[in-house]
Amino acid sequence: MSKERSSTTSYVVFAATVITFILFALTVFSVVMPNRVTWMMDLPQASSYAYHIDGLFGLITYLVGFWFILSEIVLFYFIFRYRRKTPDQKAEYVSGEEPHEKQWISLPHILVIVCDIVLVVATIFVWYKVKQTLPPTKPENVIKVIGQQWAWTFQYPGPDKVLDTDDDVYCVDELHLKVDTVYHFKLSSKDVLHCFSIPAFRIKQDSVPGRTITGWFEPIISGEQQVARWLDGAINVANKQLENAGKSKNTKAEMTAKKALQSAKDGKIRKLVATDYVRRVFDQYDTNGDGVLDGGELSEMSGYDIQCAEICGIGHGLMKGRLYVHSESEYNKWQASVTGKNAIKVSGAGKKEAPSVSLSESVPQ
Amino acid sequence: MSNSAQKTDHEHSAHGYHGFSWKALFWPSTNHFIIGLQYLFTGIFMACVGVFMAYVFRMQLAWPGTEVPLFGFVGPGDYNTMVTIHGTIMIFWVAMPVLIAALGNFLIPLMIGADDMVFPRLNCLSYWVFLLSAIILVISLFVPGGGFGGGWTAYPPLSADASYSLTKWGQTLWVLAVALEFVAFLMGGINFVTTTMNARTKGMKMYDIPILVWFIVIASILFMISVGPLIAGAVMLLLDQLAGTAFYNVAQGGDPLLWQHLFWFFGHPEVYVVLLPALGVCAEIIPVFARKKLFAYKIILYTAFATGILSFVVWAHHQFIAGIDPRMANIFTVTTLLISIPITEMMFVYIATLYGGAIDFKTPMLWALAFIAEFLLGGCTGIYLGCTGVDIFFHDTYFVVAHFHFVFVPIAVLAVYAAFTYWFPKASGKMLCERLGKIHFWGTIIPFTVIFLLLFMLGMAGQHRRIADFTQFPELVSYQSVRQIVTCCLLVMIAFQTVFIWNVIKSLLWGKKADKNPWRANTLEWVVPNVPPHGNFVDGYPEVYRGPYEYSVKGREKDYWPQNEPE
Repeated sequence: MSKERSSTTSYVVFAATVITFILFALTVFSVVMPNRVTWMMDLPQASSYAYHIDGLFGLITYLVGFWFILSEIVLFYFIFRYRRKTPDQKAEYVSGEEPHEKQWISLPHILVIVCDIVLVVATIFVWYKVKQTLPPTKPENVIKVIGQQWAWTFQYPGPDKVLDTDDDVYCVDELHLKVDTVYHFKLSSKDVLHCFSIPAFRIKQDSVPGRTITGWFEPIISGEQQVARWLDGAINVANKQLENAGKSKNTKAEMTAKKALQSAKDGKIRKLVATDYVRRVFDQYDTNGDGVLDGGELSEMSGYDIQCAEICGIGHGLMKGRLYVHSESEYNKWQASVTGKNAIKVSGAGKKEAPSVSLSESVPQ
Repeated sequence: MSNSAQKTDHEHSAHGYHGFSWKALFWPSTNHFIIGLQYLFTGIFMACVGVFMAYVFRMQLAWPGTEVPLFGFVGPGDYNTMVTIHGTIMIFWVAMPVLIAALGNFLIPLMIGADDMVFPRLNCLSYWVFLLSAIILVISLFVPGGGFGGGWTAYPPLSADASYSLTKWGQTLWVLAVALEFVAFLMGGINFVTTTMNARTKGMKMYDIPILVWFIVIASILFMISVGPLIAGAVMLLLDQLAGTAFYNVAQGGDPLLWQHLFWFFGHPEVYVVLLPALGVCAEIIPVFARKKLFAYKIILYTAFATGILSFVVWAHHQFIAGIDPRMANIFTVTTLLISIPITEMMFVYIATLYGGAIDFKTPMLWALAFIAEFLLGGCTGIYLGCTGVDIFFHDTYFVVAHFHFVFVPIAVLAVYAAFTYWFPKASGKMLCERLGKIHFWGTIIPFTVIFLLLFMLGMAGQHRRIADFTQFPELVSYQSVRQIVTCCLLVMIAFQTVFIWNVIKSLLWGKKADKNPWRANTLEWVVPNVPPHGNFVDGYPEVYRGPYEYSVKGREKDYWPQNEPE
């Protein structure tokens, strides 16, 4: 009897060790080590912590998905196995109050608790990194983000690198950032609640009137790098198509593939050779409709959406912005264009604040 | 805990049994059955309004800027009003009245063997206050400026100041309607708890009460405890709107986050207020059609208590990125994951109940099983949102929308249809058509699943809620075809509801007459005659000898053992 018990105990210890090891490995693999599995459809992972958030999503998917699929399998197996075959079929009598019956509930239940603990540790790790720490940065990389009905105003320190001075640069609905730089944003609101959200960065924060909430992000890929990657992808696809066409001796396909390859080398992407993400968004960026994405169209495409995620009145759906990440040199060019003597007008830049929209007059009081 | 009346000869010959009359539905009545039906029909009417709104804004999302048939052009203000009032109606004027008020009124006296609620006049008042609130909400859609459009959570300052929301009348009527609705349910809740505790028939001990009754009682208690702060909040909001106070106005010393705490302190228990009766419905239906005793009655009860208690300490998980202290978010993530434990256990119990059964796939059983299968996904996706790290990305995206629809549609649609088809014979005396019932079931369940699985996908692509036109976001525009598929599925789902309406009409007029106990169930409501007469137990009060789930007991010829049947 005692021998039997000790062997059971050793099985339990063994199982517990294996489970602990698997959970630990999964957690480290998903959350701590940055890995480039993108779970969020084909949304780019454009900030330094996007990998961690996506990895946490992956970890939850493994753990919760296991229990979800297991439960559904058992549910549907029972539904199938215990369906009534004859009208007078008798069911079993199981009260569920006996200890050996209850263990079918309590054992999985303990394992669920273990999974919960793993998730708590992992999620606090990610949350701490994104929201509870503030990596140091230079004063010139501190920007103000001001929400109002219904526009985003971005305030840069300007040439003197100090915020709230006369030479500050204001941009409306357009945010320009330098790659590989930690930015601190100081988020505030002029009227109602807004929510500053950049899906590609995985960052989101409500802006609350009367408060200034500080957060951070670090863009890790510039528009130029992004375009270069897409072009590389297009070249790869074109080469493969060329190879296939050569094998099947399809001269027409060979011609088109050659043409597409040449375009890609010239910095243009044809839809035929576009990689997944590019193909999906191809048409809306092909503004002149010539079937080719070239310089301006590609750099527009390398920008990211800024959305307002908290309902803020009838213009809420229109409160959108665009974010561009530049390499150092391109960023300096942009900065010169909005600050120097020859400052040209980039959409909205230079204005003190967004034009205030007054709709209340037209509304019956 | 005494039973209300031990005499078996009942005295309603005094006020007489006049039979059921449709006209009674239009007048104040103290009969719990009539009040239940009044709640049910008002809830169904409001559900039609809510579904129409879903239809309008889904059409706008799929084909932005085009005229929607039966509505016309959807402006951004209209769109906001639609999503706001759709949410408000579906939770406060559909899920609550149908699941708690209609089921509670109809079933609590029947299931515990009482002749009526203990406070019939309060019960009557409760319904008419509720009706008033529904009328005010519908009127608010047609006042100058249009209906309120600040989201069903009504976050100030948007909801507190007409110069921001542009709906001076709409927002005030919205707050008023919601506050009145709460008053109505407070009165109903007092009734449910008191009736269950004091009016049980002879022999019905605490552990003999059917799970559904228990769950409605727990839900009522949760509601009564949590609603106080929200009524206080609503009064402050009303004063901000009308009297120029500044409870939520920062410029004058208020704080907009105060409302969020008050709202969600109520708002999260509210989820369990509607979830528990829905789970209770499944607990009644699954044993009957599997001919199995409910697995571990006491575990279910204790998990429900645990869920109820925990539901009071998770509210701030709605506010992770709202500007609360980030350290606080960690605490709420722990409590949120804790609450998954009793609910998981409850799901395991329901699945375990099927083990060894002889499952008969009648329509109510299909709905109840679908509830379990679909709610599992709704519950599991909640873990993503409860984890702060991922919630940074998912907050206010369509992932949230899909998650809570996978929770609320099983509650307010699947469980309600399960209950409706299961108790229809008792309430009407007619059987529903099984074939039409199954067509309706599959025609509802498939589009529903497709719709919200696709919305998960859109949420993961970074699509946010309450935006009237996504084609203006370059990252999202190419998902337009997905949005159109979702809208088409919604149209299919709505179209299949006509099968249900036809089924009800056909069965009421020409349906097969139902036996007193058509499903061979144990609980006491099957003892009373169909279309329960005023006073319910015309042949005398039953005496209860055992728990409600004794099916397929060994050594007995019949595979069920009604609670009131002596050895």
